[in-house]
Amino acid sequence: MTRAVAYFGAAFLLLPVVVIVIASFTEVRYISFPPKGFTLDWYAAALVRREFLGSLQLSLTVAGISALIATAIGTLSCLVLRRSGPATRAAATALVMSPLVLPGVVTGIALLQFFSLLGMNLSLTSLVLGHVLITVPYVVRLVSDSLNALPANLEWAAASLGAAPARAVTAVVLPCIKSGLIGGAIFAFIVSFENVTISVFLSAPQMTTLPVRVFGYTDQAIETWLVAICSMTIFFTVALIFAIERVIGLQRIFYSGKG
Amino acid sequence: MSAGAVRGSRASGHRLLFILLAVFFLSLLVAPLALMLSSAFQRVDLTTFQTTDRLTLHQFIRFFGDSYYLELLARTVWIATQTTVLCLLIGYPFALYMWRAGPRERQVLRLIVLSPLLISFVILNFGWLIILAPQGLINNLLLGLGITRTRLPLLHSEGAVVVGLVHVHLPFMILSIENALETLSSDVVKAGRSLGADRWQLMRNVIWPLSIGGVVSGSVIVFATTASSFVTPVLLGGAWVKTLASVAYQQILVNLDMPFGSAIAIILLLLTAIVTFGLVRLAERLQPHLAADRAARPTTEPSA
Repeated sequence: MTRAVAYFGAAFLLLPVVVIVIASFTEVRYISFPPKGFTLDWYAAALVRREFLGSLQLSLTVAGISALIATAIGTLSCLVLRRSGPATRAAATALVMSPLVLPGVVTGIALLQFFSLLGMNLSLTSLVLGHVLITVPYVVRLVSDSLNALPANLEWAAASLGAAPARAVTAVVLPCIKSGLIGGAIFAFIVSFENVTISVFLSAPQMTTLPVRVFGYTDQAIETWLVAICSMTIFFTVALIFAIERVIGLQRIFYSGKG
Repeated sequence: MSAGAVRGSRASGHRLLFILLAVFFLSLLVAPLALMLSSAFQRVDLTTFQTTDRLTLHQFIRFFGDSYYLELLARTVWIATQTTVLCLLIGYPFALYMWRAGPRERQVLRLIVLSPLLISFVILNFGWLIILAPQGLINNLLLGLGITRTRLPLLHSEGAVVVGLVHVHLPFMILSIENALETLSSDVVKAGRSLGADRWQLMRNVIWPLSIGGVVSGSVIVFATTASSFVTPVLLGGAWVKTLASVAYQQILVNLDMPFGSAIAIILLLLTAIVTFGLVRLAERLQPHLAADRAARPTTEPSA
């Protein structure tokens, strides 16, 4: 019984992704399934669409910058909180992790109003700030996991051997948590790259990330080049998943203890 | 405090970093939310975009006084409930199977479960668009098998939205139930078996009660994120299936009515908070072994 449900569930989870990839090779112009014939023309057609290339570039830029900043801020937060009292740590962790439980539409609306009150135009900066906020929790989860595995007195040991505080961190602690750091950065990148709920509020019309662009196109008659774009995004994500799997193991991200 | 024992320079550097990070999170998280809250109590003239009222319940009266918005609230709750129940119905047996499976199979299943979390749900919903479209997989399949004679309007329906939402949220349910099962010691299961429990009794009296925590946290996540989703309702429901979040999105980005959009967002937050609270209370009542730890031992033991 459970086996039947599990296999059904697995097929259900994979179906839309598989359907997109298969449908992208059809020779028909408007979406249809099953595909007729086989062609790569829609990939070529997708690659000459300027607005999508622009969005892809923006998405990669935002995801790259956000991942870097989120990794720095998340790691610093973990290191600072490692030496705070338990009450401070619990309160601060709850605050930092809260974007995980806040609905994206709420965070998006709140940030949009905040930025417009500050007189900030929607720009790369506003997008990156929003994305840093929602990706930091993932970094914190992974890095604090790695940190918890270290002996509590590691920095003291380094200090007693004559290392200055900053050097104790860079030379001793950081190398020990390398896999958590890299995993956190890659994960932050993916979360930023796939985000739409925050981006939709923080993207200016001439500056939209790839998922927001796809979202905006779907109320029109859908042509197959859009399917090819979705398919390419899937290939890209699959490549990233393999990268994570090699560096840290995907499961540690989700199966880590509540930190 | 341990930091106090460290040399002064180190402690002050630590404090400075702490303050900088606190400023970052407070200004980017707490301030915007506070601003949104205050905005919900304002009123804006939608022709001039001037604030006409700084402290009014207008937006909330507008919401709760209009049957359109009340229906919207009810539909949102209904869609989220259907999604949560379906996720649970598929997710529990799935997690149970995964938990019992051999290491190799478990790893493959985990990878399948995790994969949708890493792909934008715009893209995932797009897949359902191709499946449910008039020229899509299901319609062509049904026509080809001669089951139907006309193309069914599967898209832009509540059913399409629920299917899309179940797909996006199922991984969260499975992960949280499996997480709970993982913490369940195999000794407990062995003990139950050695006391003569059959499969069904083991399930009912041992595994299920001990996994309720995962079921509840999974349901909370699924309900809260479904109730506040707007991308899937817009993509798969079109203009026909509106939810609280999709109307909030519209009020903010199309009508530019910030106060009303904010008020809806706050109603949404309250809704998810109430449901979360209710489910957590329910879990406490369903887990007598935890209640027994907290209170004095109950006098009436359920006959085992």
